[in-house]
Amino acid sequence: MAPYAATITNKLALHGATIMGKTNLDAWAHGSSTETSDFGPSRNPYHTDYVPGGSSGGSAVAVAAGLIPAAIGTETAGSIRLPAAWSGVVGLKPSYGRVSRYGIVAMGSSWDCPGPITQTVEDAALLLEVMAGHDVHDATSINAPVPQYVSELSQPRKLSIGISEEYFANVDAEIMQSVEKSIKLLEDLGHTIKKIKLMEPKYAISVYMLLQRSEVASNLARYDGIRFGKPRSFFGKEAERRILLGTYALSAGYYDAFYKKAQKVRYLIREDFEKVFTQVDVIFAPTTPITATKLGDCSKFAFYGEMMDVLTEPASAAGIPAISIPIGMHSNGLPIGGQFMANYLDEQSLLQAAYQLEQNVQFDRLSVMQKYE
Amino acid sequence: MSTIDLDLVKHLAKLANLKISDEELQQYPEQLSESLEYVANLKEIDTSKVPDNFFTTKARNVMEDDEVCESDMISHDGYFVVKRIL
Repeated sequence: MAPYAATITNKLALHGATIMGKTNLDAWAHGSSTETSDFGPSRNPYHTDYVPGGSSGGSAVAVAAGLIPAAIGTETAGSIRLPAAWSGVVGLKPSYGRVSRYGIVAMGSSWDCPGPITQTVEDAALLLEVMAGHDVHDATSINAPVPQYVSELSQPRKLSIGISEEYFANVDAEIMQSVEKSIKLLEDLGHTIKKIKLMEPKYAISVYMLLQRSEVASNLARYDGIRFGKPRSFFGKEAERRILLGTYALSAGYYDAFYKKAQKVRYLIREDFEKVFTQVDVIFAPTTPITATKLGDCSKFAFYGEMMDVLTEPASAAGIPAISIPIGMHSNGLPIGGQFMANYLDEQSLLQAAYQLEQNVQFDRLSVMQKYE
Repeated sequence: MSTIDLDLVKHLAKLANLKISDEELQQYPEQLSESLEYVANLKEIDTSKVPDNFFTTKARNVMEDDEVCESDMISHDGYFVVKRIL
């Protein structure tokens, strides 16, 4: 039991939300499938032999199966959008600093963002409106006005939407078909599609791998067995591996070559996005390169988490907001997610674009809920 | 490219205060070296002109006003009396 409530929990309760409970996730949020959870994995509601994606997988499953209308996830790099895409729900990662992290276990402190996982874009807008805003208890939270996301959702805005080939490399053919269909829909809705060039997402993986590990090593150092009950021997293999690599990247002699270099490339990733957002309002791309994997298959992939999160990591590195919504169904019976990314603090454009696409895309989210009634 | 050998893993485990059994330690040199091999792609990017003070929000010097709280002004033998925290 937590000794105090997180700011977002308090805010939601103040606005009349009923907190139903906690959901499953990878231990310390270290994972992309919930398979590293100390409580066992969650299962994909569309096919229970498959994972729901992680780390906030339990939240996505509960929403997809209709157990609850909405849930909160936390994302360091993909942990909201990946399970949302694989479980057929909406997942919104806000701008870094938009939503308070007070009361949430720190993972990668310069990346972490809590955000809503919901059945619809409108619900995501509603939750963000409640959750967003400055918090004196979180020194990194941003003191910027929070727009009325819900009432401005249905504005008939025509947006300029960027498409980057760099986000299509090694993406499953059927996912690409859904992405292309969505692009056509967005064009038919009167939006302008523009080809843009972005830095290849593989560099964001490296930046993430080094900086997140370093921050994990530093954050988890406070788990000394005194203040939080259990000793350090309770860390699982995944946490151990991350702590070791982070300790390496931060240690004397390696700091410049790894930590500092990654920080500099991260700077360039953000600049790259900033440049593109002078030309377009939002960027559209697939959320994941493939659909959900089978339970137990994660060990078959080298760098499983990084590879599944490859398309979500750049936005996280840059601290910009992004949203994943269902855009189709794969012939394997698993959902396909597409994502919009927007400029820093421009969740408004993100939500408007996602809302319009959601109204026009074919995706049956109700029949899976009937299965679990 | 750098690799991480068993001695270095032991050293890192010590720095991180992790007690890892000898048997478990064996898997880490290879796994960690693979990660280093991957991140070597960062060398392809020229960062010679990039500052190294990245901060995600671009927020600068967030200051709060100093507020004198009367209740904290009561002194006790020349010391401030503060609320008990433990």
